[in-house]
Amino acid sequence: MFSFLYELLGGEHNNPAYQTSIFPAVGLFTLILSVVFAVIFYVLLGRWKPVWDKQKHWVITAVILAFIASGLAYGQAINGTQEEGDPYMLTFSMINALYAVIYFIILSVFFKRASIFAKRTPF
Amino acid sequence: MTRNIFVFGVGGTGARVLRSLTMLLASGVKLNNTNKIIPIIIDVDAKNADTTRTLKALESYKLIRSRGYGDREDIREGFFNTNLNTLNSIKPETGVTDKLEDSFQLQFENLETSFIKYIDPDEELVGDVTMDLLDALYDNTPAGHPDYSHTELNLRLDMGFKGNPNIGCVVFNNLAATKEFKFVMKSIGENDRIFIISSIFGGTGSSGFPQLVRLLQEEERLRNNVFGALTVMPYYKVSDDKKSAINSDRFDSKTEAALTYYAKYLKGKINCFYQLWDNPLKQYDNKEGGEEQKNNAHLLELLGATAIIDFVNRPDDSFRSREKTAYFDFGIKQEDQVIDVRHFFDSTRSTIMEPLTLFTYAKKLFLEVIPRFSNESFYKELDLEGKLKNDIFFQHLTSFFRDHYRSWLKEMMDNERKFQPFNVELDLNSLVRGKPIEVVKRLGITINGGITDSLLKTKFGHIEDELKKTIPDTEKDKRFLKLLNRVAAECFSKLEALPSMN
Repeated sequence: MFSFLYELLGGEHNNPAYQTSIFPAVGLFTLILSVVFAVIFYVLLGRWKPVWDKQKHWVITAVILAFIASGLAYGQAINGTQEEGDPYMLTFSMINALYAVIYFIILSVFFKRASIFAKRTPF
Repeated sequence: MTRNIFVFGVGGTGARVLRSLTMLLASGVKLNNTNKIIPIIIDVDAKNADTTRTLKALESYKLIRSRGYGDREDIREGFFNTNLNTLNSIKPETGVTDKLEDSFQLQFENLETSFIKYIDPDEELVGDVTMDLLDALYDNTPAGHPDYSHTELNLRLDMGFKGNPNIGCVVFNNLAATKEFKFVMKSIGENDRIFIISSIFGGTGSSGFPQLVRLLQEEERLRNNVFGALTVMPYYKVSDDKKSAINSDRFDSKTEAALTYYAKYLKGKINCFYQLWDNPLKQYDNKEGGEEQKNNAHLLELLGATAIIDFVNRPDDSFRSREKTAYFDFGIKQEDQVIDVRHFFDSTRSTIMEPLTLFTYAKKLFLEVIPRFSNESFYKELDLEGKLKNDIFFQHLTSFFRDHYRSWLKEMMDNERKFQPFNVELDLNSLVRGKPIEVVKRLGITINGGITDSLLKTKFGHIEDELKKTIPDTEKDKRFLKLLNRVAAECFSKLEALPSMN
């Protein structure tokens, strides 16, 4: 599934390592990372005190998640292919950042119900 | 056994004490075994500003209570918990077909005229010996004299009795004929209690009180009901004005005369008699009545309202027979010109001052803090953005806190003797006079900020989340009222206890 998602936006790469190990691992880890961010934002901080619960905090959280997801994809691509960085890797890291934010938006719809202070964040 | 309490507020002082009672009940002062409190204002001065102001506060209370709790009578906790309602809300046991106006005021009929025309509308007494008797009993300065309109026989009755109980007693005699009074008589159940508030130094209260007792006790059915009364003796003066029918130099002599009358004619008719007075320190502007009679709230009126709470909460077996009337005064710990929470004894501090402190925290939270929290989740969950502007419940709540409760507190603060339990202009940490909540700082860093915005946002969020589980979105007004109460209680917990006098 993850291969399909990445190839949908970035196209196929002739190195089979992407399909066999990089896409599934990065995809799964990015999804888990998004869940962790949502849990921290909505459940841990969002139920503790009103310190990190507003829309601007949500945007900052999504940006941090995107940066980490991007770095994760780029690093995994270099490690998995044992090659120097190339434009495909850069595109892949951008696409992964985008998917991480999309996961976070979707997870927000579900997790905000469990929150106290971020019940209405971001919408 | 639960019961209704009928509280008659006679005249301007009666209305002002009822105003204080409304504030106490709004603050959540607890009443035992009570279904409803039925305040009934009896004042012939239809435009009296004191009465109008009390009526508005009562109407706001009624709406807030009804939206917050519905018609439930088993609510015993929280702001506005007492079912303070109109006579119209009672369903008498015996069949009554007449529909009453949904009002807290008992309406007299045919008072839009002078006293003489009220007695003799068709001028049948002209030249009669009865007219000579009236001329002998009442001042009847002839037409054309500068004082003509102020003289007793020519006094307009719908402007009050202007300190003339000799006129009031005649008019009150006809009270029994009004449909509202007939309804009252049928509405009072066998376990219900009756309380009458009046002043003794004016016209309406001093004449209305004994007449009212007589009319009520003429009804065989009501002879065993428990009767309580509060008589307010002079506690203020009015400025000298020769054009006015009211002269405070006569307050003491009128009090003495009325007390003599009460001692003789009310003997064996009242179970509990509460009396209040104070050295008159304040001189009000001499206003005979109408829209201009708007006396500032006074501590004594608040103490009068505590008498009603005391009467309501007394167990049935504490009342002696009417033959052995129990008399009560009110004392404070120390004589002072400025009174605050510390001056009261423990019982008043816990039953009255604690709820008032909670309500004052709530007032500040509602008027000053909550509007600043429009970005918070609880604010959005309760739809406060739109409701604070457009919803009738919130409009009345705003009006009650801002126009009624805050004004009432400020008036008592400025009156003499001054009652200043709260620093209403300072922050929440300094709200209670004599006991600021300590803010702890170490190396410039706040370790304990007392009641801070951060604490309040946290409490509002957590408590709203908890309340949402039991009170559905269809009852957001009720949820808000409970939320306000709970957060005010959290503020009070920071205070720990009210200050006391050693």
